[in-house]
Amino acid sequence: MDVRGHLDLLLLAVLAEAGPVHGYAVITALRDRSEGAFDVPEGTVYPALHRLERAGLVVSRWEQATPRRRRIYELTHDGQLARTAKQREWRSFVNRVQAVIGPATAQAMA
Amino acid sequence: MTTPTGDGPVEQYLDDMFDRLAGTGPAGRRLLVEAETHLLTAAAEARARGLDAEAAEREAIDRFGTAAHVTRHVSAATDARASLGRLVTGTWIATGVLMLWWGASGMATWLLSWPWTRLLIATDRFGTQPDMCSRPWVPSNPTLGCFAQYRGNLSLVPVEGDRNSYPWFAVGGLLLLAVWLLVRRSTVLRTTAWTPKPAILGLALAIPFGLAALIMTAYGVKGLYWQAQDGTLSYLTAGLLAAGISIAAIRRIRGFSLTAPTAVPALSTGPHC
Repeated sequence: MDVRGHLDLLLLAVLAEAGPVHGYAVITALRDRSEGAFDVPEGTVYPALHRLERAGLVVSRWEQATPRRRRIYELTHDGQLARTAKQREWRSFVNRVQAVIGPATAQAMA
Repeated sequence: MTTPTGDGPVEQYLDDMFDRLAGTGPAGRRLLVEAETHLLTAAAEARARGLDAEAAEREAIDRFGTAAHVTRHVSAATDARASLGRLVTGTWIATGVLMLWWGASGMATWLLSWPWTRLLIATDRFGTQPDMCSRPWVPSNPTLGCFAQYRGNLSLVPVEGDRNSYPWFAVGGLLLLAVWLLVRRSTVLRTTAWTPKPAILGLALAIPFGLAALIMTAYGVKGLYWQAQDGTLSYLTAGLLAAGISIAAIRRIRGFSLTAPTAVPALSTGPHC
């Protein structure tokens, strides 16, 4: 399933639920919670996280305690606000599309 | 092209990434470290599921995406924005320093003009000649006074309206530098980033260009309707250009504050997946 254009909201939502996590865990959570439907090229998630950090929605730090250096990502207060706003917009968008195309059951019966 | 430093697919992939990330600076180095950690972790998980080492690494790479696809976003994202940020920050600081220097030096010249004039009058040729005001031909206008006349003739001393602008320039420059010091960022590594947040840089562009657009467009419109001035077309052109820059900056601010929140299907159409 193509998630282009929606990756920001998905990443913000995963970070809001999971708390401070490294990139690999973000990708795993994205895949598990979508039951494998959002199978994005994993490497593209890191530039997206970096971009969210430049926008001030995410902060990150190196985790030194592990054998391999890992970058831990965490949502900022602005990130929480952005996630809420994007979520609201998404639900509104879905409702409007739903109103146009009709409920799934009606389509299936037709 | 760098020669692969290892035999495994992951090592070769990382070498390819390294070449493609040349010139991207800290962002590229960071992505390289994260990619290495990610690929080795994914390969280890695949081996735990029973795949052999090479198949595990190939699976990890397939899921990660091609090096060209991943690195294209990094270089495009960092270079242009970082350059623009440095340019705006440099202009900001240079403007503050120039305004402060101009205003402070003008004020200092004005303040020092009194003792400097008295020194000139009292010690012509540094004391080798008698007081200039005691000479018979000075002053030529007795009602003006010797001191005022000499001070008025000092070409470096700001006079009348000119001198009033110096304190404002100095205060303006000081404010610009103070604001810049306040909005500097502290990075997650506790080091100082000289460029403020992108949204603040956008404001730094939007406000002056927006004000300039209003003023110049007003001059242009005034020239159109009230009197045909030579500069009317120039004012209008410059005003519209400034308005365009200001609007572009405001759009960038909105983009950075909520990462393009206006329409859900276009939540982020930037260079990423």
